[in-house]
Amino acid sequence: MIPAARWSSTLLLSALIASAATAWGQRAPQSAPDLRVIRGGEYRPFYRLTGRERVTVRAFALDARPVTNERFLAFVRANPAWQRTRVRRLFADQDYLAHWAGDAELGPAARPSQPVTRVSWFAARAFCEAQGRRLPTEGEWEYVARASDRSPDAPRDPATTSRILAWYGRPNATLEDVGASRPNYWGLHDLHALVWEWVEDFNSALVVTDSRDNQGPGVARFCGAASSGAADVGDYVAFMRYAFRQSLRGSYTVRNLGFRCAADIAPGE
Amino acid sequence: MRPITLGLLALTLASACGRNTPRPAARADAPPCHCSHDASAPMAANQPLPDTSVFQMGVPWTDQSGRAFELNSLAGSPTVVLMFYGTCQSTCPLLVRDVKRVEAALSPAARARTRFVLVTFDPSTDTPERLSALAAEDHLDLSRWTLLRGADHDIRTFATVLGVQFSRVGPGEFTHSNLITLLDPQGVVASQLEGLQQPVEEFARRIEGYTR
Repeated sequence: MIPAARWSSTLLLSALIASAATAWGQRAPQSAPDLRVIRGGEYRPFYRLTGRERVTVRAFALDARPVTNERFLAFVRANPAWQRTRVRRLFADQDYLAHWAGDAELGPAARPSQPVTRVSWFAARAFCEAQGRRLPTEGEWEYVARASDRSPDAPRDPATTSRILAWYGRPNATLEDVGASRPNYWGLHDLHALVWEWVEDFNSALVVTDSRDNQGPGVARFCGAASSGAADVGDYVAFMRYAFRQSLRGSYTVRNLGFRCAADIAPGE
Repeated sequence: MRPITLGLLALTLASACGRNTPRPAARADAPPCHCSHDASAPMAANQPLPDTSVFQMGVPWTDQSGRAFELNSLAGSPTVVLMFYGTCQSTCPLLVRDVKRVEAALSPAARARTRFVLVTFDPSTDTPERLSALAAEDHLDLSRWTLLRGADHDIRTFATVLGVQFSRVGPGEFTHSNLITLLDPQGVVASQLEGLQQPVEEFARRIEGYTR
């Protein structure tokens, strides 16, 4: 965990500059990993935990785009332990970066500006820590994912939802480059319809139960299982994200699962 | 609708949707362990740890005495691991009891060579003093049992390595998988018990094999 104190005014200032310099809709150079400042707030999540119907998110900063092959290549060159043939199996499965041409070579199947995929949670986390950052929490990621291009909280925005549903059904042989889609309200690109993204607590223990039947087998598999349930079962796209994350293990790599990094900012800003 | 985990739903949904829908769930069908063929062979001294050994995590832990503890100090012993938290009123006491059932199922010789490790989700509440008190309340023999706490970041790493799901849902309150893990003497996950009051015979059989 990065202490908030380490992210005092310097990061905040640079993040604000990056945020101000990039007007909504404009594309910053992709080689410059830019952060967006996200105001704190709260929301009613897809799931419900008794007594905690709303999730509170403190202000933080988040990469405007998913991490690219190019940036991840620089990381594995500097950190050979994360190269394809050197990584420990405990931390990445056998498909880790399998579409790259070599340990430190992208090749024809991995363009520099495509999002990096086939990376494990451990590798994504190590990348972010090497930048002095961290993975966003599930609460933070879902908070910004609720935005449409005009509103910070529009989880059922028809345009966004139909775009996501079209993506779910589209057999895509190649990934688009990052940053090609319109930014959302926060200035974040590609939260939807490009790749799925790792979060720090992807393995949170959330169990969907029907409130009429709280004593079923889920109680034995989880401690506290009976206290959670779905609050907004109509939010199908959010449901799919939670379901997908729950199906992962930390060493898994998937051809359309990437990540972006977050950073703490000084409280109250 | 009966209670089901989202993960199980993902399994169902993955087969019904397009190419961008989740695929990795299929791998959930695989056994939860990476059992090596010679898993029952005693570990040779100074043998390098395998690529999948949990013991290679260079994470600093603190035990119930407040002393620094390294996971690789467990190398050479089969180890039963449970993640839990001390103020848990529902399933954690039952889970600790299940680990004690494993201990009780072993021959005296195997029991003496096996380590039992409890790792807390809640390091701010479970101080060394609290962990020590819990060990005394549960009559845990500290020559075999170790209760550990670490940084939140490292607890998440450890849970992820073991496949334990957990969330902090409030101060001193967590939801978590009920999962007991057997590590072979090299620290590789050999078997896991999911749920409460599961049969412990397989754990006992494997441990007897490691310590024969």
